Amino acid sequence: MVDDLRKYLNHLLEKVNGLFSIIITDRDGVPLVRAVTERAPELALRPNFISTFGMATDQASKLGLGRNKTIISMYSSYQVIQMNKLPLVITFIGSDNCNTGHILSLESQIEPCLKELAAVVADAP
Amino acid sequence: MQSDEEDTLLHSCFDSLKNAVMGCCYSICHKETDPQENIINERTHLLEVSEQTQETPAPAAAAAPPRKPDEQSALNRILHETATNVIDVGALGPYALEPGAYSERVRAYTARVAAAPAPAPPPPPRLLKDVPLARGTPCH
Repeated sequence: MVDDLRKYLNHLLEKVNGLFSIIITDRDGVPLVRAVTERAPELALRPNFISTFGMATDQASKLGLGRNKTIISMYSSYQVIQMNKLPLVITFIGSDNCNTGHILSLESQIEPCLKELAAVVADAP
Repeated sequence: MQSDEEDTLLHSCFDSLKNAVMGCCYSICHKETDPQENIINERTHLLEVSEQTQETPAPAAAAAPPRKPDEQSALNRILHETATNVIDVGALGPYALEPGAYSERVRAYTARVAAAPAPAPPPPPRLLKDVPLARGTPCH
């Protein structure tokens, strides 16, 4: 399953210009599947970077606008898009000039694969 | 002679005074547990008085009925919900998994993901797709 999924994520990486990595983790930043190019910044792949999204999405959901689904962070050289699929988190890392809308449209293509991964995380002790 | 009379008068006065005082003390110090309680005498109450009214009234706080358990649980629930809804980013602090726990979880996920059935890859999205025909639209 992992190899197929990784292949599929690599295929999606190639489709979007300027996208460096797609990582599917649990809410603590522990990776389940990842497709990463060498241009991805190493700091953004660390679990303590990814796990901050879990807390941020919880707090953002309290603002009275409903449940927070996605957080987009724009940096000087990179953009990080994280999606709330709890118990899973999808993290996209791309260049600052990458098409953000194109990255967001990948959600519908990744979503069918998440059911089995969510079961893996839910069953874990 | 006169002095003897005076003495006896004085003694009788003291006796009556003593009796009166002792009676007073008796009425004050008298307790319910007295074995002579049930004996009807001049001090017996004509009307029966309930025990609650005889006791000194308790303070208002102590007399208030204890809170019902469901009310207490409702208060706890409200408190918990309020604490959950508070946005306090400063109190969150940095969060990092222990290295041992991290590697153990990575190992567990790797094993489980390898054993899980492979999901069917989703069909590629189409640029054009069929839409259902709206009602009342004439076909040409």
